Amino acid sequence: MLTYLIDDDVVSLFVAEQTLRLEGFMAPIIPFTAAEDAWAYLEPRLVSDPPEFIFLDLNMPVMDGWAFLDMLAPHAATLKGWCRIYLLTSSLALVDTEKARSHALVQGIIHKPLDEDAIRAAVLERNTTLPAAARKGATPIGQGGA
Amino acid sequence: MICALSPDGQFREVSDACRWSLGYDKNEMIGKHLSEIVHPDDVATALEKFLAAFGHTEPVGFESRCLGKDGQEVHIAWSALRAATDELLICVGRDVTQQRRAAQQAHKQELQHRAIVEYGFDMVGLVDEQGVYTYVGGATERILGYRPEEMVGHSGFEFFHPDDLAMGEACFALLATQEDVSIPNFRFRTASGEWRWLETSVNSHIQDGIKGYVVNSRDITERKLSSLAQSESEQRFRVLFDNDAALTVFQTPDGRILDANPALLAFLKKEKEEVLYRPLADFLPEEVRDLFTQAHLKAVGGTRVAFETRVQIEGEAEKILKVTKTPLMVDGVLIGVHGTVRDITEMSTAQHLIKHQAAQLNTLLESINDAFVSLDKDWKLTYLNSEAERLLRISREGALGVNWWHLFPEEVGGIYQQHYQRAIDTGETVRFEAYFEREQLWLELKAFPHADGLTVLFADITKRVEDEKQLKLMALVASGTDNGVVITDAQGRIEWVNAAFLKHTGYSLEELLGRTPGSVLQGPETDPTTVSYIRERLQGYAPFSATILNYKKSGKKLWFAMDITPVRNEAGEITQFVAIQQNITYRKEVEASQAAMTQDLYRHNRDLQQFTYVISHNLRAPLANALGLATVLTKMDKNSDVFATALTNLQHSMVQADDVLKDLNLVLSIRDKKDMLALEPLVVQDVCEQAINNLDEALHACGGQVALDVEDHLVTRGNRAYLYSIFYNLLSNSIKYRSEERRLQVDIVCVTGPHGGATITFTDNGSGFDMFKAGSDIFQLYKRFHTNQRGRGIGLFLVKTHVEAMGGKIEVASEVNFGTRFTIHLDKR
Repeated sequence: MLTYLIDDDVVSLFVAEQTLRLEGFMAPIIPFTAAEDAWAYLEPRLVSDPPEFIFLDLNMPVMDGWAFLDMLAPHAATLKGWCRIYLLTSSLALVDTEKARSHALVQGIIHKPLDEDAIRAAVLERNTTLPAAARKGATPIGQGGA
Repeated sequence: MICALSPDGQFREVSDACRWSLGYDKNEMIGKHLSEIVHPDDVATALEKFLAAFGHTEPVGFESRCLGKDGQEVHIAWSALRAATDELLICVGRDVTQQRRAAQQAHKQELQHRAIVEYGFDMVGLVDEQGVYTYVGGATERILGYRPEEMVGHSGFEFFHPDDLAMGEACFALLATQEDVSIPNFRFRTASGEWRWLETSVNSHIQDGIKGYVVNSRDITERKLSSLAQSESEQRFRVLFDNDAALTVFQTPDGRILDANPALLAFLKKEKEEVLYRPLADFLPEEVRDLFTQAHLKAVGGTRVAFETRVQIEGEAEKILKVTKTPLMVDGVLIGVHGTVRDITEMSTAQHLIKHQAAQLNTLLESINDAFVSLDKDWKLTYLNSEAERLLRISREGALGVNWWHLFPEEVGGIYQQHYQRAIDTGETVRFEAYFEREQLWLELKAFPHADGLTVLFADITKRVEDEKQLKLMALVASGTDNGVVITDAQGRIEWVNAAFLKHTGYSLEELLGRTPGSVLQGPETDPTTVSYIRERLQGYAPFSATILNYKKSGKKLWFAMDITPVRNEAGEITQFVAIQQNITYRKEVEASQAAMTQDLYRHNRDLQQFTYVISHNLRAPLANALGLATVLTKMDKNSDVFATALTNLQHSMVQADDVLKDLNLVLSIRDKKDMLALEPLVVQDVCEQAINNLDEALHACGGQVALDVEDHLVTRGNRAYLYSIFYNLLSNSIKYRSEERRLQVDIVCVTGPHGGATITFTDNGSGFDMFKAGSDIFQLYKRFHTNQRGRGIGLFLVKTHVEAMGGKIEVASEVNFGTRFTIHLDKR
């Protein structure tokens, strides 16, 4: 399960990556410290090799989380049903939560730190809503590490 | 005739001669009684005479009328003698009828003459050769009143009128040569002393050998007078006819001219001979001939005709003629037609003019806006115009000629009558105002007395009176209110202000009159938008309101909330403006302090939001990391490299959290100190150089240059630490975000700005930022716009906080890859 982590806070990146690995994410986890870097990497792979998960920090200089989502918006049809985007934020501000909930590409919002409950919920949701054909080829998560 | 009568009166014997006198035969007569042939009236006398004859020896003679056989009266003169032998009476009867008839005739004639003389019209008299009356009779006494003895012995000439005496004597003298003469038309005095006109004929007469004259006079006074009158009237008529200014003509029934007066002849330019016996129509202009002929025919029919016509006579102006034709009748027979033609052009024009003027006058009276009534000396209404009808609600038909006080009985003895009476008594115009109860109107009246009575002009001033009342109330309110009241003319120049306005502004009325309020009261901070708004609205017709900053005479600020109302006249034109001005300076001050308070609260609120954000993000971020790391650490192999990294990260996170708390503390301390900040004079150059020196090392490391240009002796009031922080942070940012492509160049210029305080411009040639993207976030806490340099995003936040703490403002302009310029305005203080 190809996963992108996008956060300008390297400590936060480290915590997220280690937590995912402890939860059994074996497939490549690619960390980005800037959203513009992530977009530059993702754009040529949108169709051929899109990530199954993107954990996206909101508060970043230059290109923040919202700006990154705006870049993805034209490709929503391509990503829909395959790529699941979670917002990862340390902010407890309600305004961010509201905005995230109404955004079509956003699957959910996770308050830092990313913990095992949030990861399990995300995987569970992926398994129940993913089309059967897609699920067959997919590696069942939560069992690999067990 | 001889007959014998028996004593009893029977005829015994009759001679044949009886046949001739009485028509009877001898035999017929014998045996008849005397009474059968004697007239019954004379029988008694005859019998008496015959019986008397029987007793006498002497014959008795007498006459008696007898009746002949044919009934004719026959006068018989009897002579009777008694025969001695016989008892018979011998009578001789002689027919004396002829003699008796002649005598009777003469007597009758005398009686007739006498009657004629006594009762006829003529006066008769006899005069001697000297004219002295010897006899006076006839109608003299009756006509002249003299008894005969009063005239007999007097000369007739004594009674002559002196004017006629000579003529009378001359006539009388003619008798010497002729048998008779007549004296015509002389005046003769009557017994009562008046004069009678007489005419007299005098005839010579010889009586008893003495020459005298029979004078026969007749009273012709009546005839004379009537003749005189007739001649006078003829004369008069002639004069009238000849001198009549009217063209006068007398025509025959068939229209020919019998006579024409000089005026007509002059009009026709003809001599009398030229027109006589010619038809009048021949001399008339063609177009009126028919008209005249028709009129003539009508007059001939016995009707008087009058008509007017216009005549155009060649070479003259058109004339209006009035023509009358009068038939002249004598004893019911038409003998002619009398016609007059009058040139009434002028009169008609004058009449027309008078009519026109009367109409004009009427129009004028009607057009007077004021009501108008005219009363005669008995208070009778002689005229009223329609405005008067309207105001008084009386109609011309019903009111004209009616006594005024009958029309308005309720006003008898009231104020109107008093004033009218005064006008009449004094002969002077009286003006007054009064309430007219019946129609509930206030009237203004002018009563003009004149020879024929009184003329009253009046107008309804109810509205004005009510307006005045209103105005009085308004003035009362205006003087009593604490609001300023200003009345200006249509051009906005002050006409009146109330006491409150003077109190509020500090000006005196003299300083304000004739000037516009704006020119007196507005000052430097008066909002020009408000001024132009007011100016614009003054052109309109609707009331409006505005709030404006004015200045008292002392220069102190004065806020007015104004309600401006245009006053219009009946024609709708603006005549005045009334402005009511509430002094809201206190309210404005409160508002200003409220605005300041609101601003303060807003800033506090914004700061609180900032805090919330800082706490929720910047403080929570390291804590969240720490929390995550703590969880991860428990699950990791303590000997692995990852564990060591996690531990280092944990430590880093805690330091980070601590930094944030320190920052917050710093910010709060600046905020809290702001109001009690000790401000001191700062030499800008010194503070700036100190900051540059402290960053000298970093500048050298990147090869950056700073050009400092400070106005000589520029001093600003502020906090030294803050000003230092401002220069330090800005320069530090310039170094941090310099462009890699060029050497850093910073220009700092400090001058005295337009408001008296210091203005600092800080310009670098660094990487800049996108103004559109950064927007208002540029000065926010923990906002960063660059990823290549580590920054906490607090520098600019502090700069702004420090500037504002000293009462200044900061602005920024930037362009990516070109540079950034900060401009700081410090308050003068």
